Amino acid sequence: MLEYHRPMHLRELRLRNFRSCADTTVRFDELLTVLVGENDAGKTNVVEAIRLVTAPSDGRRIRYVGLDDVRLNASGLELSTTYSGLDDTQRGLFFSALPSNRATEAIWTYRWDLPSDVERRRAPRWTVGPKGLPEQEPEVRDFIRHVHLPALRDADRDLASSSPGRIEFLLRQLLLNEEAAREELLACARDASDQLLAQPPLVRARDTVRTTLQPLVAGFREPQAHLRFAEPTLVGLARDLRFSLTQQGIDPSKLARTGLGYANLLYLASVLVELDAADDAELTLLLVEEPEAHLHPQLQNAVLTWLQERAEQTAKRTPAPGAHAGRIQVVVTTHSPNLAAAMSIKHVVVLRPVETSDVVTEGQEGPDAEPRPDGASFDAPEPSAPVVGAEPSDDSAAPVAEPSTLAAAEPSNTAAIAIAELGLDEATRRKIDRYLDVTKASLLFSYRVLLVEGIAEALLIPAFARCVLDKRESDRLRAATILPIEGVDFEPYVRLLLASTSAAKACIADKVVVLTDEDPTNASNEDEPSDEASDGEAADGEVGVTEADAAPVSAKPSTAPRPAGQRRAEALHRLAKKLGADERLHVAVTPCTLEVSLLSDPDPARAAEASAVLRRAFAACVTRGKRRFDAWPKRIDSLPPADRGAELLQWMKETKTRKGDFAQTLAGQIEEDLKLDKRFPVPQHIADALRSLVTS
Amino acid sequence: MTLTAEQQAIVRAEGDLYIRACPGAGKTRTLIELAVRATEGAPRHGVAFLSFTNAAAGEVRARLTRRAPRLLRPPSFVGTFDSFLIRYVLGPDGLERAPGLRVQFRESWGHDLDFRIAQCAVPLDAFAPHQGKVFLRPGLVRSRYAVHAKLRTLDERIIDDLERAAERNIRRLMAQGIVTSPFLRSDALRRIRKRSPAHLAARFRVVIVDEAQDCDPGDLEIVSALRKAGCRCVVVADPEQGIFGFRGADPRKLDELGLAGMVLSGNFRSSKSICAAAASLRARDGDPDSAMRADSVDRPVVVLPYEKLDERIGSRFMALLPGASVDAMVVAHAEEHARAAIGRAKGPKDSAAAGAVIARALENPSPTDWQAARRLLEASLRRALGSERDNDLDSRLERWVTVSAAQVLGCAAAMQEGRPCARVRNALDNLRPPRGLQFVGKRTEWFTCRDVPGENASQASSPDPRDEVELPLGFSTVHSAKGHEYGAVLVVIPMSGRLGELLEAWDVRDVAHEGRAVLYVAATRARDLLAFAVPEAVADSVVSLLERQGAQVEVRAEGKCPSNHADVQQRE
Repeated sequence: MLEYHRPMHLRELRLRNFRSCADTTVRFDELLTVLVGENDAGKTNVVEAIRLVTAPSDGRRIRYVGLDDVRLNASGLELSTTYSGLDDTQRGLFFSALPSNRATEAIWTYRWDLPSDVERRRAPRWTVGPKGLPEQEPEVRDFIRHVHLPALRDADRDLASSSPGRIEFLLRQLLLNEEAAREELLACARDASDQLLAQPPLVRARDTVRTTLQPLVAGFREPQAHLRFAEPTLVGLARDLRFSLTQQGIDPSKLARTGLGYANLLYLASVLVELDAADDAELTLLLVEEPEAHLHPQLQNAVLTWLQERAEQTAKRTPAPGAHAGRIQVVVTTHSPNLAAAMSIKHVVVLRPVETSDVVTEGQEGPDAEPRPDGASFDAPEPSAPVVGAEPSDDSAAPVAEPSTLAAAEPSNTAAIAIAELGLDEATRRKIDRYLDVTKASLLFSYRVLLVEGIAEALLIPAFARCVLDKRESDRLRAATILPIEGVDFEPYVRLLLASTSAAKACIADKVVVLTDEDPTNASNEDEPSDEASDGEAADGEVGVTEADAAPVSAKPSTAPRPAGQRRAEALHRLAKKLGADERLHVAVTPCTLEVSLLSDPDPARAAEASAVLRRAFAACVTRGKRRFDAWPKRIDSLPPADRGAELLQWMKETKTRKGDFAQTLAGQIEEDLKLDKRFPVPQHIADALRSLVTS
Repeated sequence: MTLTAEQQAIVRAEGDLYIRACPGAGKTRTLIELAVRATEGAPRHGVAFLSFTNAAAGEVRARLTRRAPRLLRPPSFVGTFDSFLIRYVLGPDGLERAPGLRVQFRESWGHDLDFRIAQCAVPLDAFAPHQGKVFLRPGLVRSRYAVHAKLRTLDERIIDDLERAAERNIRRLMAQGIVTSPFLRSDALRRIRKRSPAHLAARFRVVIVDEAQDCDPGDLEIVSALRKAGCRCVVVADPEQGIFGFRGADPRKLDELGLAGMVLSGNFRSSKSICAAAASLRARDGDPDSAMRADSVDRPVVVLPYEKLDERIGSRFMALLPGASVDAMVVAHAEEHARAAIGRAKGPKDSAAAGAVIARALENPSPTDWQAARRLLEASLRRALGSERDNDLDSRLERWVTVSAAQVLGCAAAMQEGRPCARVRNALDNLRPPRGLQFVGKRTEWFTCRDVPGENASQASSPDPRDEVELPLGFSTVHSAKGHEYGAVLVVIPMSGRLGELLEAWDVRDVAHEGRAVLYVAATRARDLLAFAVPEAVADSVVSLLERQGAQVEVRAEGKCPSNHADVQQRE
């Protein structure tokens, strides 16, 4: 038998007219997929769709299709699933759903149309293969299942008696083929009931009722009143059971008193027991929604890592001969940057709203590569093989809602951008992984991103923004993310944010603004910093002023070759153009370095104003800053504006003043001044960059 | 009930098998146990139970429902050979000529080749594929005697033209995804040979082919190809029951598959005498099956000599039945003879129901009622022209039938007096046959609808001569009874010019004589009581043949045992 690299997994889900998705294609990783996005980005829709198209693992379907699931103004929804990596037995099992006899993938499509005015209900329809042929063996779909772990809202309640399902399921699983053990347990419960009934208060209670009953039934064949427990069953036992956790001396009786995080974890564990049933299926999709809801960050990572390991185990092991493949594939939704950062970005799929009109136009101009008879219009009669003599289906007579009218009614569609498909090379991906791992930055959660070199810039930008932007622009800025990349290698981030996948036809960011230093180089340092060099900068950038930062100041920009910052900017623009997103990128190059540019405003009045603020900030960096404050005019102001920055850097170096600390106090000063309605003279290129970030 | 040693050996056997099973050998039970064992602890894999008829597949399903319901669901499969090929061999690719189209299986092409040179309509079903070409195989449409007679007169050149025309027609249909059994099999065989279906071997632990004596060489090639692809094949057959030779089936070819042979010889169905009587009919001279039923009282096999084949035979047979609760069946090679023995010479099964259709059409016409009545009349007129089946007439006669049926119905509707069927009979009496032809037999033989008694009884005209006693007995052809069993079976041997030939074949155990095999199948349907209705002249020969392997035989001459009317009433 052939060995396949990738075991069977849900490869692709296409959602059409499903809730907020006009036409969204989501690609999945074979082990673990993390769906990230802000609220209402469509994460839940993807999970809901999977719940509709797969069988619930415990056999209790809770999720049914309903009117709400159909997108506004559409007449029906369609969910199409593609499973890849089938082995020979799976090809045999799912043969009718294969696109061709030799294929190793299977395709099912689920359709549901709104009931017409005269119908009470309408059943969903399933078709198989890319051509939507009628399904021959619906039962085989039962070999693909899901376990759903909803967002943890109230674990205490869910674990408590109101839902005995979990505990009962657990008991049932454990006693599956053990008739004797089950009987023993129930017999034990029966004995306990009898003992309890013999207790005096219960005997008294029974006798009281008997005495009351006696006169009422006198003369008849007197019935006897009894008091007894219901015959014990697993469900009954489960209903009376409570999970609890003990933690060093805490009373275990009340789960709610332990930390909520742990209560959630316990709930999680009780659900994950269901995963044992995965051995009865070929593939089980574990759908975990927002595990961050009540878990603290370390637990989130622990849970996610555990899930991934579980999935890996099932992918690697060889099941016993004749046993089901028992594969587990995990899909997690989150809006926690923390959780998104915990896994490699290759697992991440970013969901974001996009303008529908774009998507529809693209869809019409460039239909899918594979010829789909139903590609043009969703409402076309059920695609089937052209059968001679077959009547056209009745549906075709119904008014057809064109995709374009849908687009007009609903402003947005959901795009699903699988980062694994952005074409990032391994080095780039790892770089971003490392960065996210340490910073937990919300790189993937915002459509407007400002990338700066270091923490100093990042600290100052909000203060600058308040001096430059009006109220509405400032509000917009709040939705943007400012990321210090601790280096100058912006390319990986720009690539990540502006590349688009063929499936999604969208990229993660609407606007990327890069603020970088010009870094004029001298002749000896002519080469563009290699990756190593920039990594080195990133490593010690926060520590303070380095030789590299200080040295270039003496060099004359005019005599040196074009500065590194310029070349960086050009390279980034070239990249954006290649990605077809040049208009989404703005690169601002700070002459020399940020400190230099702040002090060297060509307008003497503004330069003086800036100098005054920096003077106070520099003095405030130390507890007894009077000496610095007094020395400022002589050491800084006396110089020509162009040289002041370099001198300040030198001074900072001498006094071991850290760039980050200085930026903190400076930002504080600027904000103090704002209260007095004094605006800091923000350099023009930074002001432009900020405006570019907030304008659409 | 535990399995016998023979049965257990089969359940435990590994590898490919050819099981020769006598009738009533607990074959299905054994196969189900084999399937259960093969899939134990392997929920991922299934068993394919392949039969040649939907009825047989239904029987397996019914047994599985009781013993192992999980084998009714995927990954297992229970169904006909054809549906298996469509689903798992052709698969999503479909037919070679209709790639990717849904395959639509048809029992019959439902088309005739209206061929001038042949001067008759040749059904497309008479053509079979062989090595990529289409050949005329008249045996495939055995029941259409008129066509046969015609085809025998054609010379080779015309046959060649016919074959080319048929090929064009069939290709056109297949390009739409439509296919019939022989063409499906040749397509599937090519597919398996081209690319080994690894998915099949991976999904199915065993492929069981039941009633394999009905396999034609093409089917057996498919079995061989499946084995080559790694599928474990278990082939089950009773070569003695091969009664589909006219379709090309040849049980002897089973030996050529080279499968390990096993035998199921214990008969759990029939009594000792029935086993012995059946053994006399076999092609292979051997001991009778050992009767395994402990409860069985051994009743002698009964021979009912007759002078004329009519319902009196059925009455005599009924008199033999121990009680009303016995399931009794009258079988014959041809349906008409089974009918004759219970007094339902010809005509639709329920002439009163047909009468009701006519009444509705005449009294309160709606388009559907009118159509239904027209179809009834058309069928009657076809019978009047000697045609056994629909579509058997050429287009000129077919047109006459359609037009005349409408006219007769119109006349009957215009008449004011009499009950509906009487009016139709009246109109039919005025109908003349098409030019140059005569109606076959009397009108009462081909138009059998009866007015519904009751309600408008006052209008009743003279009683219909068809209103006679019909015995409450089931009847069937041997071919349809195959695979079933009954408490009591009456085998009708009709008077015919080929009776001597049949007895000769019986005597010398002629392998090639299908009539003999048909009698064997018929006799082996019986559990407790087996009776033969034979023409008086040959009764003695039949008795001695039946007795030759030790069966007790009893002759009940006519009149010796008057029909038991109380019993008849009770059964009603």
